[in-house]
Amino acid sequence: MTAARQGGTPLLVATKIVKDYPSVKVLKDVDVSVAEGDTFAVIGPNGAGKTTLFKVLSGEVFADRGTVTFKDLDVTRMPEWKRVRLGFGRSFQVARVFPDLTTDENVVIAIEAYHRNAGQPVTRGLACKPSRETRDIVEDTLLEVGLIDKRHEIARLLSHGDKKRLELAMSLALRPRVLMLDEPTAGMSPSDRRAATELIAAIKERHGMTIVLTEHDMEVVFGLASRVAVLHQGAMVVTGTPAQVRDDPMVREIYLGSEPVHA
Amino acid sequence: MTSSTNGSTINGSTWRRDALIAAVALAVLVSLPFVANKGIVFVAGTLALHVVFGLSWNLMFGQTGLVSFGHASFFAIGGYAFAWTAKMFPQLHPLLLFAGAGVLGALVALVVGMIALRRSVGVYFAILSLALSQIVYLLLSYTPSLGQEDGLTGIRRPLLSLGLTTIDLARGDNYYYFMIAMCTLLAIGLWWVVHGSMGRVFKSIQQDPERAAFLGINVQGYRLRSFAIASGTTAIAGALYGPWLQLLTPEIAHWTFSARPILYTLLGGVQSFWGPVVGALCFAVLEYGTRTLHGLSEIVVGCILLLIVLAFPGGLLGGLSRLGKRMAGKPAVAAKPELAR
Repeated sequence: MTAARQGGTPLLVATKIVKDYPSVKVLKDVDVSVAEGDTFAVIGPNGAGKTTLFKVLSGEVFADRGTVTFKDLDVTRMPEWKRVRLGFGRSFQVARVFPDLTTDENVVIAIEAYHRNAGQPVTRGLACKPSRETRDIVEDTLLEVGLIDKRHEIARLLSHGDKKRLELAMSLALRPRVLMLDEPTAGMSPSDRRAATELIAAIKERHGMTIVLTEHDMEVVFGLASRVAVLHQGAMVVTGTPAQVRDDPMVREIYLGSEPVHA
Repeated sequence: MTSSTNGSTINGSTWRRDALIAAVALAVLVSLPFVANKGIVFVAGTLALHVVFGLSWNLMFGQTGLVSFGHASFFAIGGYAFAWTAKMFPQLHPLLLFAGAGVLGALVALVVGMIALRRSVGVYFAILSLALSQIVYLLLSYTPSLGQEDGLTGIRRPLLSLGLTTIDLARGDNYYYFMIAMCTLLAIGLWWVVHGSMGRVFKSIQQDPERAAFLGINVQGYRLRSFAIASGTTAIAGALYGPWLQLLTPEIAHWTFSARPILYTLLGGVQSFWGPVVGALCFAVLEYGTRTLHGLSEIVVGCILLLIVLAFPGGLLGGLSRLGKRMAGKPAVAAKPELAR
């Protein structure tokens, strides 16, 4: 079910999404409507289909049936790299960075990709070196995510939390309209988790982009989300404000069966 | 600013170091005809071509994560294209013919790549490229106008008119110098690609193609570019080979020849731009040093290569850089050459 919208115009809309894997129906007629400016969280027990929905929305896999639109453009069958050019940015559940490159090289690649995608020149003339502008943005972005001191470190040697920060920096470099975060605090210690939540909130505050996230930790969800959707056994059961979702009897039942909603 | 690998230089210090290395290498190559015998000059000239062959293969492998087992097919395409057109259209400017051979190599790579790279990377692409080289080998072996198994003989070193003056490349060591000049230009071109923004895109694809796609990078398009650039460059090296040897046989399309750039790269080091150069040099020295050991040469070369690869899994340069780090007291990080996923 889709609850009445609050405010913003729909930016990312998925309608009647069906996705089957051999012998298992993962998503059954799922509807999602994310409004411009929302922080939209998709929650649900393990195996509910959150990651698959995330993949369908970001273009990593295509839906078997149903449509995905972005800014009223049908992107259902559009590969991920083209969606990124429209304004998608995403992070992965297990942070994915370019492991043998340094932190700043990772961000340079993202910024240059953004400039290239926008049809802007990437380097000056025949120069190999990234432009002054690119290097300035690298500095700003690394400052923003708190990695400026680790700019020369090889990405593979960064801690788990720092890899997540770096991934965020790479996504930010793309200046996305919608930032998709797949379990942004997975595998983090409580203090790292708090720091990550604050960082995401700060980024949202500063850039104002729409955020779609999946998350296990309810503290994080209710701390960040303006809208929450609950997925259960491949179907969307409730969508609403955090308060509505917390008080929903069906949600309580689903979570009491597996894990309590504590927030 | 430090740089993790050769592939993505952000600062300017690498080009100064590399320019110095290149200048020393060039000085040695240029002075060689004055100090060494004809045999060594011949080995050096051939080495220059093999260096380009190895560097272009590593543009695909070390830089973009594409494994080709059939790179020699482009060497052969360039070689035969030049030799045949030079014979049929002697009035055309040789530089035009060399460029044409390169364009042909790149075009063949584009067509093959559009089919082969669609869904297949990793070992599938490797096998498809191997199949391509066998097709080229068989075509060359059966085409009467290309001399079938005997190949093309009597390939002439052309006259090079440069507007004001004309150089007869058949005289003295002229062709050797011409080849060194051409190979230098090709190597500079590859260096520029590897260290520039396109090289950074290639490197990101080598590291994690899916992550790269989520930066809006058209992974297949860039793989295709890498393949075409490497193939075009190799085709020009192949074109230079015909007049150097004055003979071409289908053997240059054989898979054993495709193994050469792979050996150079693994021997010298995948991670460094100079890896294939060091590898090709070692190989040339080993071959030259064992040339009198009839029948034993391959065994000796093979054993030494095996030892080097076992002792230095990241290649000679990888081993040297680890040694340097250890001496400097930094923790050693093993180079991990990964086959394409």
